[in-house]
Amino acid sequence: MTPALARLLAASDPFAAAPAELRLELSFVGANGAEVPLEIWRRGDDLALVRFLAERDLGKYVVRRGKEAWLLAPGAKNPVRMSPALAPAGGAALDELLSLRLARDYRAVSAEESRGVVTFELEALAPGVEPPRVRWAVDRARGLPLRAEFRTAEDKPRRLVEFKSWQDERKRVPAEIVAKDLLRTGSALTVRIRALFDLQDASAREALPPPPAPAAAAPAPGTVPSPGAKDQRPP
Amino acid sequence: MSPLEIARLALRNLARNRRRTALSLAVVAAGTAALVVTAGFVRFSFDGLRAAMIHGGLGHLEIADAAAAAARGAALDRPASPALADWREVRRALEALPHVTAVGANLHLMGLAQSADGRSVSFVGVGAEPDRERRMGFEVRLREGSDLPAAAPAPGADAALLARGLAESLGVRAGEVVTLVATTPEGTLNALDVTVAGVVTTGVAELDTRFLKLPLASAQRLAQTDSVSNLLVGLDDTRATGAALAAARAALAGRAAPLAVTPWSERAPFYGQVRDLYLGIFVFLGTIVVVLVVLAASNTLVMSIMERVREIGTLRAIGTGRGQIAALLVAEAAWLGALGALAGAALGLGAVLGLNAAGLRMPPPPGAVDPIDLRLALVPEAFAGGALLMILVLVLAALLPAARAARLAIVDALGHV
Repeated sequence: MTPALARLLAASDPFAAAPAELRLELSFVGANGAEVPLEIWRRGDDLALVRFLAERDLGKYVVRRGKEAWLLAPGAKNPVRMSPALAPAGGAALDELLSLRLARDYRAVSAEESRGVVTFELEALAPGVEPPRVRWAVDRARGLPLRAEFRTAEDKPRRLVEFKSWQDERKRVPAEIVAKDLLRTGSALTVRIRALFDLQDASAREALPPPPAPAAAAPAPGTVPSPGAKDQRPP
Repeated sequence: MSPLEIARLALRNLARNRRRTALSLAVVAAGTAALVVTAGFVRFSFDGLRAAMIHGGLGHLEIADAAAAAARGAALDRPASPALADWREVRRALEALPHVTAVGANLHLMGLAQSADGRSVSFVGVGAEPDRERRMGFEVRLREGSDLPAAAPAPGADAALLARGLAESLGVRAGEVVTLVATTPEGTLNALDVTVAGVVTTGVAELDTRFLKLPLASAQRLAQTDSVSNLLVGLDDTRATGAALAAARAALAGRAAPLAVTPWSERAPFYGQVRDLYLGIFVFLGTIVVVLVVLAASNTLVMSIMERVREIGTLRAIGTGRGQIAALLVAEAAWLGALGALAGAALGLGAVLGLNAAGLRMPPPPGAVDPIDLRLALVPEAFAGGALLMILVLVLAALLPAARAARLAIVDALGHV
């Protein structure tokens, strides 16, 4: 791979330059067509909190610490540990995408260019990195990714993520992503990102909405979920 | 000779060789009894299977959103999506129809059940209305604990019935709490704690490993929806299904969002398969019985004619016509059929009553959990049909020998040794 292509690959990674601590406001279009608003709080790659914002979802959270995730719901007294089978396609796709570090975790096996689109075949540098293989298609002229195909170790396609539009091309902040789980039947899931806040940026912190009422409070991403964890507030 | 005289003479001829006649009657009686007993077993199996299907969860009619039903297609075990939003209005319209005992709403769910010690097992569940299901005659086969309460539970007091295989996999018993996790119609996850009210069996071993039932209100809380997947209509008489189907379709016609009204028989392909199988077995056995009776009766009739060749020659010599000779022999066969069928009907009735009184049980069919009672139905059509069949078979069996006897030359017949 030429140095130019290597630079293109590094520059096209939308989340490599993402803030270490961030808050993402987004929504996804549910299977029944209804829009589901939520926000994701992340600290580094290991801690994440998903807070569901729709009225009917109040009090519902997903907390992830490393590879372990828990669902907290008002109807369940204890957090429910989520197996991979429980991971909803949209949330999993987005979280997987947020954890993607192309330059750090992958090496390019090959790169092909056709009609202005460069397709990189990427392979994980270490075992345990998910997904083991990625097919990464980049618009050469704009330096923006077009789609990512997450593949299994056996090189079978597992999930397809398409970057449909961008709210900030310079900062590589997508506006709409469509994820399709190729191993399951079902319609594609559309994720709309409304805002991205850098939590280490004081001005962004000031722009945050007030914390939720105690009844809808969430555990902090830095805490291990426990029966009492629902009473803790987000950062 | 008048027909009456022919009939009387034929009956007297049967009495001439009592042992042979008794043997023929025994063959015909055994054949008739076999048909009666087999028909009773088949009818009881059909009725039992149909009742198990209808009262085990299908109801007589299903009302579902037409698009959702079409998307479900032939995969009947795939839960319908909660697409019926105005189900209360639809129910009001249906419960006003004749023969309808109750209309129950169902919400189908799939997800994971987790026990307090962290064991998790996937489940297929249904949210139902216990009070209405009771009015529809639905059966709950409790193995432990108690049935679901009739009233909708308050939030935080949710309960569920777990099939015994699922309860065993989770290691829970009645009174313990499990957490159910399911996907909402929007695609998000939700969780709900439910107390195990009781452990049940569905009667199907495979389904017992993953089935659970909970009140509709709890299922709606878990799925975060007010809609339901379908409505099940219970009738006071299964024979009214056709009329109720037409009435329901008429009552629900013209809606903006069309509804599919499906009778239980279309949702139970298994019933049709079993019915076809049993009918095939019945026809096969019936054919064997008929062939045996025909062979035995033909042999008896041929023997009877061969022994009476000189007698037939004498009758012909004193002016008895060929037709009368043939009619006499056919009448003997008809008497054999009628008397044998009568004896067979009595024998069959005794066998049916005796087997029912014996209370015998058969091992569970493949895939089922419980042994089944060996019971036989009394099928009037089998008695009448069996008797008519035997008379017809005997008459047909007698036609050829009778024709041969009628064609005998008088001189040859008189000189027969």
